[in-house]
Amino acid sequence: MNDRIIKTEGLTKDYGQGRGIFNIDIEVHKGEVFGFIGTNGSGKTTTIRNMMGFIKPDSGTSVIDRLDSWNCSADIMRNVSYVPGEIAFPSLRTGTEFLKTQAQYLGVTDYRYMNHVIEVLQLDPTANLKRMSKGMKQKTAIVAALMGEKEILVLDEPTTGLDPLMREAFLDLIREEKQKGHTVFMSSHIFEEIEAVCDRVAMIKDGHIIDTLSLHDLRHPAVKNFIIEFDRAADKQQFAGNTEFIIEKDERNSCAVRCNIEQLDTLFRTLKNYKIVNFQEIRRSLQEQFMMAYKEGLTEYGEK
Amino acid sequence: MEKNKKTARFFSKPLMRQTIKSNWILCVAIMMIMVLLANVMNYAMSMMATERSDVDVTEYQESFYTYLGSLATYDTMTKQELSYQDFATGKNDAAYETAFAMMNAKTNMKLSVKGFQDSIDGLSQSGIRIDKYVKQFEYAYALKESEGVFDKKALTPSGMLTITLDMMGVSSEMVEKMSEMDPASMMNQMYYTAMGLLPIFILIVILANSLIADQVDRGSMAYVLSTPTKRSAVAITQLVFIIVVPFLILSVVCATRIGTSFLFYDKVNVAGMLALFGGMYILVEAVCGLCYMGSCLFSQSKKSMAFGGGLTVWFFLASMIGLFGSENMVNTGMGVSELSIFNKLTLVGLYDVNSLSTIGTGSIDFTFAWKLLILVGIAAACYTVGVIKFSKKDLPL
Repeated sequence: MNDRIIKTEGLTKDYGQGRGIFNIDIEVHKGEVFGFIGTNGSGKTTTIRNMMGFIKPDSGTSVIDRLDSWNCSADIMRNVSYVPGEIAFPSLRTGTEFLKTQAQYLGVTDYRYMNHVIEVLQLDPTANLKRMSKGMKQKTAIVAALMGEKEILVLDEPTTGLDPLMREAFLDLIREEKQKGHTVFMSSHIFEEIEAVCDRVAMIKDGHIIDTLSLHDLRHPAVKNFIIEFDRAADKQQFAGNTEFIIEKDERNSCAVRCNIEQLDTLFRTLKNYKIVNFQEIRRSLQEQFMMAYKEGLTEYGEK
Repeated sequence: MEKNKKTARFFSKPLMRQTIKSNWILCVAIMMIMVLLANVMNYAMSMMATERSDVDVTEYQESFYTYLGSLATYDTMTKQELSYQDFATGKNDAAYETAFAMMNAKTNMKLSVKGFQDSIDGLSQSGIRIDKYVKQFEYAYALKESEGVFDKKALTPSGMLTITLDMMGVSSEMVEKMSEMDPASMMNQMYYTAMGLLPIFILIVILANSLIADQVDRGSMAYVLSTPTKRSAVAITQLVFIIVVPFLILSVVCATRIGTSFLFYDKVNVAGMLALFGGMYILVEAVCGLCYMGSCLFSQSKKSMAFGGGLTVWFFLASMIGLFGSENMVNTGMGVSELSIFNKLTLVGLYDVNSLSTIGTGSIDFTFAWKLLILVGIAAACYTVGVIKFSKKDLPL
């Protein structure tokens, strides 16, 4: 398959004392928004540095666009934009000056898209680079990365320092990128934003990938869970007594039901015969999914 | 889609522009300091040169003393009061004509007012006031033909001076050396191996660190390397900057110094001065190479600074101490020759100011050549190691 834009195989960088990343396998397909989630110090940035060719892996490979990250990093950059996790600008005076320099590096001559991004993020680039607040620096870095309109975006915690409104604006920009068919790889420790834009998510803990899941599955699960509360306990008993659904939590007036999507219609038809006071779907958020995988990871790799 | 942008492999123009923008103020400031220093130094040296002229006045001195001697004889004989002071007013030439005519008749000499005037004019070239010669003559005249009460040896003013100095604990030998000392060569050595180097050393330590290590440490290098710019292009671009900037600065300093030399001196050894600044440039590049290598080797700004700055400060200090072991300093009594070992412990010692300044004179001493070649070798090796290391190491970006 040729639509694998980013692919790492057995990527390992051992910093000793359990730090580093071990056997990272990630595949990102063309046009996908891929989330990379993990706690602080879990190895997100190290993985990204390996992918960008800034550090040499101890073993394993990272390939972007069929080019090896370490050997051809400069060629990869023709199609990749990067927002570093730590924002430190070169010693230039203003944001405008910095963005202009960046445009020269990238060979960008058409500033329309850049101005569009600046507008969306409500950035004032004429401010002094050194006096910029964290949020403004972050915005400037995002503009610098996005203006190249590259096919692949690698973003290391791009929303740190952004206020909730700006975060929303940023996520809109990511959706725009996705619509253009660009591939986005973003790391974060904020579940909501990953949940909002990503197609697939990899979770990393202590340098190991503990789970990779499709958010499509999370949003549209094949199995749904409902809590149904009946008016009378007798109704509940009758429902629970002769039903094909799996009853999980059984209380006096209410019960939790697990059912496949295909059975949904049957469930509603059955429920029509009872007086229901509460009907609620239990949704599993990414965070819960992560917590679950995290706990599994703990038992798998042990405490540090 | 920007697909046509080529990957920068060896040189990146935007990076060069960025580097110039972020460093030009510092470079210009250092250049101003160096220009100021060089020219003030040049002025001071030219003042020193006019105070102590090398013109040989022995002949005029002898003739002047002859005239003074005959005037003294004439005065005692005729009870008159002719003297240099009186002569210098120029009102009494006739009296001197008669005096000299009489002395000529008596001693078969060829004294004349014109001859006296000539000897005075000649003597004034020495830069020492005529009054002092007169005074010296008075001592010599007073002691004339007197001898010691005990040893019956002739007493002379210079003998008295030597004894006096010995009593004061100052070796007369040293006084002799001091008078032979060449202050110009000492000042040259001080300027080229210590004072003149300090500003540019500070500059290259800061520059070398800020061009690579500091940007890696702070992470701003990420913005360059996340564009189609190879690491080798980054390293080589910064390398070009750090080779060109000292060259430009030293060129300007050299040019202004040659310019002001034409103002202060009649004769200027342009070739010699070019050679001295050329040698200085090679020395600066060798030190710069070490700093640059440190900058490429270490990912932490403080480590790179400690390496480059530490070595440079050591080179500078050792060269300062070594200066007190140089022949000139030892001769003035301000140094000890043992200290010259420090010149072997610093790269500055390979910058042979004395042999370089022979360029443009009759006899050229070529010992500077192999020393400079070593410096060139060090610079080239360090730069190569730096570029290769930077292209291969892990960067925390």
